[in-house]
Amino acid sequence: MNTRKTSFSSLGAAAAAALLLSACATVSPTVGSGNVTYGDAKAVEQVTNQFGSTDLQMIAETMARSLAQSYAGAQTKPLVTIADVKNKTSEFIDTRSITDSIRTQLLKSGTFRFATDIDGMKNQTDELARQNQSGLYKKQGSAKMGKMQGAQYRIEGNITSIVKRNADLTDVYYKFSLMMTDIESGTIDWADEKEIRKTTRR
Amino acid sequence: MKRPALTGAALLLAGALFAGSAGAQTIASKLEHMGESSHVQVAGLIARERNGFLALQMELKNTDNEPRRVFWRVKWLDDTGFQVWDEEAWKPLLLQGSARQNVQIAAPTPKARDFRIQLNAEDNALFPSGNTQNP
Amino acid sequence: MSEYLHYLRRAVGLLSAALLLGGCAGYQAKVAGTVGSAKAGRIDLALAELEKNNTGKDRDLLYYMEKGELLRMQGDFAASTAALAEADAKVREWEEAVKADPSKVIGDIGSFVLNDTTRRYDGRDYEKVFLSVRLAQNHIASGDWDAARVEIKKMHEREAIIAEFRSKELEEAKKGAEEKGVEISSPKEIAGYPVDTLNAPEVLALKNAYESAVANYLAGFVYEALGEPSLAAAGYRKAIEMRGGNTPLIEEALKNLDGSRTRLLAAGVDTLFVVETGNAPAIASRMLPIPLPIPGKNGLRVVMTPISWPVVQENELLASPAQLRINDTTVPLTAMTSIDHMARRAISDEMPGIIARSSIRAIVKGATQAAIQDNAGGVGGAVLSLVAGIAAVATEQADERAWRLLPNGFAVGRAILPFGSHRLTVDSPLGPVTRDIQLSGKYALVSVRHSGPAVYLAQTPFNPLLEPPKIAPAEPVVPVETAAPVASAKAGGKAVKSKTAPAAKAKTASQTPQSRRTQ
Repeated sequence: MNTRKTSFSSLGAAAAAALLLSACATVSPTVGSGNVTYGDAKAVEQVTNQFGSTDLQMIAETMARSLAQSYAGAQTKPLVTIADVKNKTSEFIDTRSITDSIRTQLLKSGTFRFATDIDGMKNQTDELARQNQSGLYKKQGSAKMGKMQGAQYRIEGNITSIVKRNADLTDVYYKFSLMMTDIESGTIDWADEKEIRKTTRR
Repeated sequence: MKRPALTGAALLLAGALFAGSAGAQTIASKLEHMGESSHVQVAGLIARERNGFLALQMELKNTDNEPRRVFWRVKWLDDTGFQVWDEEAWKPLLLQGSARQNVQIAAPTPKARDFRIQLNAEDNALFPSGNTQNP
Repeated sequence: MSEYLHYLRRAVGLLSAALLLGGCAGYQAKVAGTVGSAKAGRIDLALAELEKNNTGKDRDLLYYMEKGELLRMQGDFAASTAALAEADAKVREWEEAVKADPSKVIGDIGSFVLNDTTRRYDGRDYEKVFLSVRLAQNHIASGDWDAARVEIKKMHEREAIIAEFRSKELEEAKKGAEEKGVEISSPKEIAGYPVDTLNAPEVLALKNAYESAVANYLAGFVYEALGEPSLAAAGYRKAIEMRGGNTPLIEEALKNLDGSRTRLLAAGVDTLFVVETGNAPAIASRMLPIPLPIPGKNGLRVVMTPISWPVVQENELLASPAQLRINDTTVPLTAMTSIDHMARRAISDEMPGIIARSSIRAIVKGATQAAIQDNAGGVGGAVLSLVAGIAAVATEQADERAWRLLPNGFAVGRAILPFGSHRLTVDSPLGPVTRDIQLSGKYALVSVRHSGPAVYLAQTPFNPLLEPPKIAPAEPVVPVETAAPVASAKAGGKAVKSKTAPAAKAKTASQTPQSRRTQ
């Protein structure tokens, strides 16, 4: 596997020149007035001290990488399912959005496989039943009943917060903990947590 | 496609690192500063492979007596310089006054063989006053 | 002094505009017919009355809110949602303005120089939030839980914006009043103001004028119904925080969340009853003088200046029923939220701003008169024209606008009931009223509102396809918050499973519904 690096620098120079030439006329491919802009989805969000996008991204990243590293050496990719992450704060935090990100990153890293979780179960069984019981499908090639795989591990956790306030400071502390349990033996094989502190000055 | 050059402990202080691949690499060659970093330096950088994943440790040093903020993220590349993972989220970090702090970074995928750390510590007072260029 | 001249120029210009606009009859007079007809159970008349009073092209927030509420009572949820959506668009305009530049919304120079009724009506804090609540209820009544979830999410974002805005507004009002030397900052200092209306313990107990227990409980219920326990938990927790005191119903809901997924396997429809009573209180304008420093030729003079203030009217408070009956079983109700209290709290929170605005306005008008007199030069005329200036302030009215058809009291109850038809009986002021309800699915919302002799019902649409497979005999009614006698009343035959722990049950048995105002 020998990849060759090709240099595009001459092309780049030409493109830059073209940009310079056309600089006077605005040719940005946009519609509408300039009151709306797209931002950087990865930028650090410091609008309020409530749970925000940066917190979600940091938590998902830390957890996914910790998990991936711990199981990278495994002979077979562990088959896991994501149970619930309990929200123990009084904020409206969509923990499923966090676990979705963790799952995406783990799948992309190629270290884990995921079994259908409870939320997806209805769609899964409906489809299976439709293929097998409706009598509409060819036997050959349709998904068979009784072949679904059960997960070896279950991932679950919780998020808690401590909020303190005085006249000029608000301090928010979040702790997200996640653990992975071997379903057969009931042992907890992996756990990690991420702490976040945010302070707002009035 | 394991790269033996990286499996042994590689790289160290400001001098040479990653002997092997593309000749001597320095810490500076692995960093992309966004603007001038004030009061914050990367004092050390170590990379090693763990279970097929690249693992980094970056040591940050605050040369000021006040706490300072740093924003950082990593671009993960393969041997040929292609980026193998999405843009990471920027991560804020607080460095206490005069402190040295290690940041442990794990690669998201075994495909990552090389990296660039993006660092921003330009206007890094705890509660910055003016218009900030922070990500 | 140059600042006054600046105001003065504006004032003279705007004053003539005010005269043109003027003749603003109080809102209460305008809406009285509509409210009266609705109370008498004549929704058709109420709607006609509302249209008659809003013939212009630019209909305001209130028109759409009242209309949405009337159509909801009529059971036309699609039309009601459309009307409320119009109102919602207006509130969103306000949100955008606040997000872009809050000082512009606060500063609103028109109201500094004119009066509060000429400002565009943006809705009181609790009205903005309950607009979302009503929309969510409408969506559920049309069977669209996902749309309800969107409204719930919008509601929480709205609450955050209101919180931010209120804190900014308070700061600005304080600053403005200090600059003009106004020393009064709270209604307590206005001689004759009925402070008791604002200082009642149940009003002071509220955290603010926009977050309510019922809205958060509903949020929790919607999230739970959609299988999102992590968000539902936050809703129930917030509801406990807002309601305060001992609330077994909410604690029960929170506790049951953990098992909610397994509970789904059990046959039965988890039903939330929301019982709504009465109408939101009216707000009246009352004129009371306060001492203000009026600048004149010889410097500042303290003049007792009559100004109109908003006062929350005594409301005919219908007691929320303590229970309703499903077939032969009692479902206890927990009083959650009183709009009456929230309105008082809203006025209480707005008063510092109103005092600052009205005072500055009165000072500017006083100064205008003084300036005219200075030009005329006569000594005798001075007093006269100053009096005229004050009279100009006195003819103004405080902002009486308020969403009157919003229910006043919200009480909720919850029970797991078998699929199918049930007979619901609720006590109305004119005796018990019975209606049929049909339940299907895993979760259902039944809203009951009585207004005068009429009882209006809004429920999640019945879907016969959702009948669970018949494995076990249908379970008996299981109220969530069980009052002790229920279980014993059910003698013989099927056992009634109480979901409340025995200890908690003992507590709830003696518990009375949320304190009601006694008159």
